[in-house]
Amino acid sequence: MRFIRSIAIVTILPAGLVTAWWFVSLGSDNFFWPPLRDILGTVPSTWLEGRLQADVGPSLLRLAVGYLLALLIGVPTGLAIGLSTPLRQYCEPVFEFLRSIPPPVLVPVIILFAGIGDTMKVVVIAFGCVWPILLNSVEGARAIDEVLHDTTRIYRLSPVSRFRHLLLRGASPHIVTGARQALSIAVILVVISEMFAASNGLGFTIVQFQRSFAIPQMWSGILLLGAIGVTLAFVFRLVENRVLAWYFGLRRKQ
Amino acid sequence: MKRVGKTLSAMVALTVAAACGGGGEEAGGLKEVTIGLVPAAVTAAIHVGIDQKFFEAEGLKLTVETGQGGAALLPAVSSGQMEFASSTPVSLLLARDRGLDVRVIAPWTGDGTSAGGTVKSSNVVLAKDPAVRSAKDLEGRTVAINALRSVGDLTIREAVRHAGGNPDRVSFVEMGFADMPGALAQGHVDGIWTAEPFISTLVAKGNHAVKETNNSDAVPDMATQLIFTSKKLADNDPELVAAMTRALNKTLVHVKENPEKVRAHVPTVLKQLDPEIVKRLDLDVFETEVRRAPLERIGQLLELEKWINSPADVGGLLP
Amino acid sequence: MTLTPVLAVDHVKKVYTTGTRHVEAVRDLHFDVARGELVCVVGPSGAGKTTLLRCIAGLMDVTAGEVRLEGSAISGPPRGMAVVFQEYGRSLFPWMTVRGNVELPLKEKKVPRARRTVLVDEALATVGLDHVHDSYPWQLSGGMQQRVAIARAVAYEPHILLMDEPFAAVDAQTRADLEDLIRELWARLRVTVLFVTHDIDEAVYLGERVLVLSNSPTVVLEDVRIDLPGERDQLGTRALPRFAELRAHVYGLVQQAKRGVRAVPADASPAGQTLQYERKPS
Repeated sequence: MRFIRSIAIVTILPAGLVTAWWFVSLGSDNFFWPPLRDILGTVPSTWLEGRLQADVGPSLLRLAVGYLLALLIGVPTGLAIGLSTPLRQYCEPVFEFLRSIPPPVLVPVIILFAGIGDTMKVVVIAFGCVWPILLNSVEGARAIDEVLHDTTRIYRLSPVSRFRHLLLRGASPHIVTGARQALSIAVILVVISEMFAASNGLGFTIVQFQRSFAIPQMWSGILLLGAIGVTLAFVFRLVENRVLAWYFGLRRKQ
Repeated sequence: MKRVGKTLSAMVALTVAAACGGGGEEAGGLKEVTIGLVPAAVTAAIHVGIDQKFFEAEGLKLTVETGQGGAALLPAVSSGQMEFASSTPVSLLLARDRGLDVRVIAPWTGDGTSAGGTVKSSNVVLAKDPAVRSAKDLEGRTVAINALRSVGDLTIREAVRHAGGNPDRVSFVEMGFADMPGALAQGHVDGIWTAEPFISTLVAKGNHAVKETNNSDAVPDMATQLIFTSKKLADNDPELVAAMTRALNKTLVHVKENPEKVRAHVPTVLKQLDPEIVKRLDLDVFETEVRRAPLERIGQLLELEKWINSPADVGGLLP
Repeated sequence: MTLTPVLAVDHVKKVYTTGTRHVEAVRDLHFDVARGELVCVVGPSGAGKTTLLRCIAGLMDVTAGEVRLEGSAISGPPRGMAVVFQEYGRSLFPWMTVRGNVELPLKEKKVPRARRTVLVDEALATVGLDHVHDSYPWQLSGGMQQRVAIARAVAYEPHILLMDEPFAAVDAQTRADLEDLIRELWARLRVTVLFVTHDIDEAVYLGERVLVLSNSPTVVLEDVRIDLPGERDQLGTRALPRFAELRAHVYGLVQQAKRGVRAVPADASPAGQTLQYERKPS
């Protein structure tokens, strides 16, 4: 019952908005604002006949690789920096500088060393995602209790164990916050990176539809992008609930 | 429900129109109209026409809008944000095929293959690798073009086909004209589809033009930009459209004879451009007629490529 | 007394340096703890009890002197030592179950799985927590959390167990239970315990010896032998006249310490020499 209720709460507003869109747009004769019925009508022919593999697949792959790369670089680096106050003070201005550069501006520079292929797109995504992850990991490492550090020293935990059992887990509430911010950045950057020198991908396809005046198809691409964003956020929430179960429990207790 | 939709669309249109100051209003006896042009050197020509009072003479107070790139101009005209704009023949034919009723009212720029004898403004594929000599050699290679599904890939694919190659074996990648020389030098692409002033510079650096990849090889006398309006305006205010056509034609004849006036107005459009570059700039050829044959030819190619679903509606596009 | 010391604190001095400021926290601490002893350390607040414990635990470097565990000087936390901190809520890993917390140091020590299971089960049973293996620490009361920390230390099979005011943050009833638990563990496992507290009653009730610290910069004011019977219980022991005497004596020493008295000047006892206890009947 509670499950059904929470599902209802989550879906009621989107359902209402879609319904409103459906009826309001029903009689639209505006070329650039077609009825939702027409948009949804184009979905099978637009996406189900090969484009899921040809365009959505590469986009998701780039997103996954870029995002994981950002995690693999950002988390250990951030934790290491967070452990050392002098290191953090040295690095902070540089990071603030780098994070304030919008990745799209760097695309031409990234092209110089990464070429124009998938590497470039992955680098653009990773570059944009790494900052929230890294900076939150720094905060996460700082937030770990001194007594826990002492405990791992007393029981002579090896550096690897300290990283796994103390740093990674102890900083995980912050890391997850950074990772959530990075996920939405990743979705945006997939689309943006595919506007440069691309020949496939979801962002690329949406722009091509727009250019060739295939407006209902363009809208269906935008809807698909939104659906991917929602799905990723949902999967993220599942992972978060699992990884941070202890943290939510602890917070409820306090 | 249908009425609700209609009302809402009308409201959106009204809001958009209001936000843009509206068009076709009387101001001091003149009708206010807006033309959207791409932010390029050729756009200077319109200012020459305004200086010559060709538009005032037709009862028009013309505002030139160059803020939006080419991609946004079709929707802007279609929604009534502006009355007129320029676009490429490929975009215009594609738009018509998708049901966006646009009408060409005047020529603008072109390759001018037969008109002026100069083909400098025309795009061509440049390559670095000496092995790439003819269009057929592009098979298995990557070519950079400024926009996919536009003039570039249409004409290059035709060139490859004409040279006996398979155009499906050529990969196209989209990038800005300014980024292309770097990508070619770095070897990220094998060929770039470019125009002056890049061609002279790049050839001087040891690159070479690939044979028969010039636009004019695939489509002789091709228009690069045409001035168009929406069906709605053409139907509702044919006098206004006719006046605009006359003023534009006068402008084109005048700038063809007085290219130095156009050059003098380039800084009006491109404020940051180095004056030295302005002096050396190769200006496009201004056309004084809308040629039907090149449009028919583009239509054939679009159909051949299956970029359009039904035969190109050249008749509907032309005045 | 000439027992082989498990722990030798040899003229330890600790000076904190921040920038150009030097603060002498510990001047000269010198004492031994013999194998199987239960020694309590008391002193007025600010006596450097925590500094002392952190130096012994190897969490902090000493400025001069050295700490030896079973004959070898330590640098960093040594093998065979476990510590129970005052902040039970902060020393347990909240992302691990009770069992996970107790087991982690054993995994790190490469104790085989079967032996590990036995040690963890026994340790949790000893502290009376057989029923909460799979709970998380934050699901337990404060007293139970401190029992988990004690179980973790016990399962580790340390040669010496340091306890830093472990019961300062629990309620009085729980505190009494935990004191008895420590006595019981000590008696049963014959583990050497160094127990730091600010509570005079607790020190006298628990200890075989009570070291009274002076004010900072710290020295040992007096090493008091607690000659109470080995079997102790909260009601009986505390009712003994001897308990009252010892308690009064230690109380008097702490009062002196607060006034800045240093009864046993550090220089008076050369390195390596056994300390002379000042025995006062009352």
